[in-house]
Amino acid sequence: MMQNTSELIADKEGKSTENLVPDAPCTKADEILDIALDVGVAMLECGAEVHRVEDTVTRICTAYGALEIEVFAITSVVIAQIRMPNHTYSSQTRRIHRTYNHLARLEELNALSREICRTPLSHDAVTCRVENIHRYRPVPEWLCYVGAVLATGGFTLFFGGTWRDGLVASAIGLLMTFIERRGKSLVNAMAGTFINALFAGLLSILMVIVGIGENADMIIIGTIMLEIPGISFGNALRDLLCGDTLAGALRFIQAILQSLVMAAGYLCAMLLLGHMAGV
Amino acid sequence: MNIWTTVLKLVTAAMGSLGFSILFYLKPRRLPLATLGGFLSCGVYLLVQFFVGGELIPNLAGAFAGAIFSEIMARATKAPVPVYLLPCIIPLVPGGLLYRTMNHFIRGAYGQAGTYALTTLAVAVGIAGGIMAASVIGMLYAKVTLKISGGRKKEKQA
Repeated sequence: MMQNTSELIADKEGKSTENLVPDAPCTKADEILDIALDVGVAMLECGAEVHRVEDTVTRICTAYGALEIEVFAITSVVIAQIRMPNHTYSSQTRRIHRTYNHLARLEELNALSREICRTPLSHDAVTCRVENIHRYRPVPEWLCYVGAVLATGGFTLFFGGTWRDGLVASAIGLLMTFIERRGKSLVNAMAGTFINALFAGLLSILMVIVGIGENADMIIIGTIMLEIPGISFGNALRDLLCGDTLAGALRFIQAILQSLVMAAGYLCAMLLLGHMAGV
Repeated sequence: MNIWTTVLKLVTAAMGSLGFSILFYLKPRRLPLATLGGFLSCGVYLLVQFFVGGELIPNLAGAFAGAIFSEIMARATKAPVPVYLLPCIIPLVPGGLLYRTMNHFIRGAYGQAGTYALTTLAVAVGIAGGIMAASVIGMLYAKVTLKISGGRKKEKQA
């Protein structure tokens, strides 16, 4: 008798877990919105445009059968509400604290969202996939140092430096990237930008004083390219012109502030040492 | 501008694009096209600057060419547009102008600093305008021909 009941319970449990097996797409409003926001927020963190995030969240919710979908995203927050056919509602808000450019993850998330829209997945499956994408590294970490060397060296030559300037700028770019990677968690983004800019400026001028580099200004211009928020500036203006006024304005202020802080860092370096190298 | 400076600029712009593509964590197989995009937008920028001069129009043209390239390549390789757009735009970012703005500012040459600051702003507006024009065309194109694969060749020729 005992065995029988335990079997029954096992059977019941088996059935109840069957409803949660990964293949069954979820139907609860909360779960659907949770999935959509998981994907959307992850995209925003990887550097997606605001309208892409709103579009993705809307598409995913539509794929799960939501009727009314209201999404509002700016760079630091996403607000969304959906209504299901059975008149259940869900509204959720997510705060985004840090964004960075990680285009490989963005691409994976885009592919995931397309897949979800084709065949709706279960809540757990999507959560698991998003987690995996958060850990996704397409290239080994050391390759970003190669990237920094190419970028700073290339742009120093591009703006008219000599090959010696290029080499010095590459070395400084390498160090800047190292500092940025190691010290990311120690200070906030603005202070980090200032320290990096000050450091790069001082080193550029010192190298010219020592006699390794030739033109301090060219080396500085090359290293500026690493810190300049050119991309977010362009994105900001585009958001503004495309109608995402609030997101654009926020990004614009952020970009302006970051350039001012960066300029302050370089200015300090130039004021300290500039007269010795004729900058 | 002599031919060697131009070649050097194109090569180093491509190098810079490649470097930033790596820093933006592109997938390795996207790197060649992204580098080509940086080369292209810089080439268009230099070409237009040679014939028209100034900063606004050349940057507009360069950004437009780069953005159109990214829209096409994004569709052809099924990647989101920013994957190609960001590396394409990088060579146009006005690092030199920003430096000159700062430099004149600390020397107390506020008039010149202001001029450079405005030029920097013009470059930014040019880039944003170019990207926007291309993305509007991309959106229209996607709406007009929902089946993209048939029409891709036409746009390449145009």
